[in-house]
Amino acid sequence: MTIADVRQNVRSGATPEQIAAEFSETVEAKDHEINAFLSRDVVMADASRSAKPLYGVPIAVKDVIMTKGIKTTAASRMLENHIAVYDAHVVEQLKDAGATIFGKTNCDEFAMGASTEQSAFGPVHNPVNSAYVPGGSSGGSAAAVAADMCVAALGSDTGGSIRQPAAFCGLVGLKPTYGRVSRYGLIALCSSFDTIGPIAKNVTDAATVFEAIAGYDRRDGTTIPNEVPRVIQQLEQSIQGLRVGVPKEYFVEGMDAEVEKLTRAMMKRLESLGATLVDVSLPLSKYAVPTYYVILPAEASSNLARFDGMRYGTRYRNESPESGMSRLWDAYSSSRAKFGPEPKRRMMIGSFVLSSGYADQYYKQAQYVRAKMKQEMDEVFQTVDVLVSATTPTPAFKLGERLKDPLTMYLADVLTSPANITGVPAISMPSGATREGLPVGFQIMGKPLDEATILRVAYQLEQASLV
Amino acid sequence: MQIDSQLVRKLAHLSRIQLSDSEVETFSHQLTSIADFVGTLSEVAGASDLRVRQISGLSNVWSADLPETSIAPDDIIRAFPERDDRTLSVPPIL
Repeated sequence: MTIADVRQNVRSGATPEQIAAEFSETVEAKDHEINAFLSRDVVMADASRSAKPLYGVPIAVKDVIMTKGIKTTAASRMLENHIAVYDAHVVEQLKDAGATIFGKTNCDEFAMGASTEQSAFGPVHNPVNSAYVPGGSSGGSAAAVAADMCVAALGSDTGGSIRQPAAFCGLVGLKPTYGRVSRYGLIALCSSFDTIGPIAKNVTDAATVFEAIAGYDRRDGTTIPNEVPRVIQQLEQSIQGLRVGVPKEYFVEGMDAEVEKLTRAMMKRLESLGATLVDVSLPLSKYAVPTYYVILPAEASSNLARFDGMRYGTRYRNESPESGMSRLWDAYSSSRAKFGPEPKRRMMIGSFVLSSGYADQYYKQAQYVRAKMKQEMDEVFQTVDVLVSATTPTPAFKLGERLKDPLTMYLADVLTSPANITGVPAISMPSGATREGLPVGFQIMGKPLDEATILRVAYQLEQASLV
Repeated sequence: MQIDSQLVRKLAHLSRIQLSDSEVETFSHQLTSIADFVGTLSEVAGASDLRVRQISGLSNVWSADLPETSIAPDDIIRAFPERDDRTLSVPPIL
């Protein structure tokens, strides 16, 4: 069911309660196999919002986003009983637009992962084929939408966590420009990369949710004051004459042959819609993942320092050691021992790359490469309107396949992390499926603040595929 | 860059995390391969150029210091991991 379907139902007299009840039945029937939801608490649409664009639309929210009065765990034992005391800005916006907040979705612990296998509450299965991962870290959000357990969902994207699961589950996922959507109430992972965006069944739904959540918020000093354009009104505009850059480095070594074929077919379709393909080069792209895995752990190690077992979250205590300071150390370290392996790994890498003696070699060098990548991206966008590529080099992988080797898992971000490092908006949309039936994603990156153009390109491609 | 068990224990201490002996060994292997991987960044020359360090183009943001409704204290108190009525309990350190 899409947003247009819900609107039709509402026009025919259905109430938000009836619509939510229908989706609850689907969750009841399917989620014991998929494990997409960590909480099924529902906040019903406010009847005074009946004229609003999302009235009665059940939207699930990733469990790293605060929902007042509802358990918000970040899929971690550290917050397993934490009831959020306030709503994130995006949740306020959804409520204001008439949406029904439809449960909290599973994810990798503190959004650290690319498969949703790092959740403390069990992995999520891909609804397309349950032997495969749904992607991550917003894997529960994507699986919930793909299995029609909600209409759309919010995810967060720090290195590809909206786009990669959208690709693996055959959906549309939008990572807005950094600063376009307020991070107030998002549990911080890497504050200079984190974004919130929609995962939806089609481009129009993604655009509708984006319009509802985007815009300035004084509680997030990094939000951009510029007015948010009406992106939906621009979807129908032709892309005749649009200049589409094809970065040669994005056909990475080891790319699956079927993924490459489907990606090139989408490029052909762009040409048939009147766009001009332009070969471009972004030579620093090969350093995107190493840059990402220095800056992210550095910021994450600072952001996760607040989970000390004192003011909120879970506190564990061993038998008290003798001296005072060691009691305090024990309270911290035994509580924080409950973090899963991925947060532990990243906090230690963060401490390593920031520590005296290594900071110049790792952290400062990564900030330098990030700056150079941004320059490179700005220069390419002087000559083209958008950049296109596959979203991921491979389709979904099997559960357990990459879990033992963190580095292989990190490489899943190779085509998505550049947009986070440089702050530009990017969308993933389906390009087709492999012979095995696994969905493949096509990525369109845009200029800063130009979500309108990437949504328009995606919409035009989507319409062309329906013909 | 070898991250041996001694360095893992130091990083765990800096991160305030207790690790078991088997975790120390696993992390030593994993962190070494990650450090080698991210070490490839040193191939990009020119890091001494301070002009390109700052990329965000952002400047400080100021907002008016006005009274506003804050989160209800009782809601915050309910989130304490241990409490005695309205008092936050913490481990004694003295």
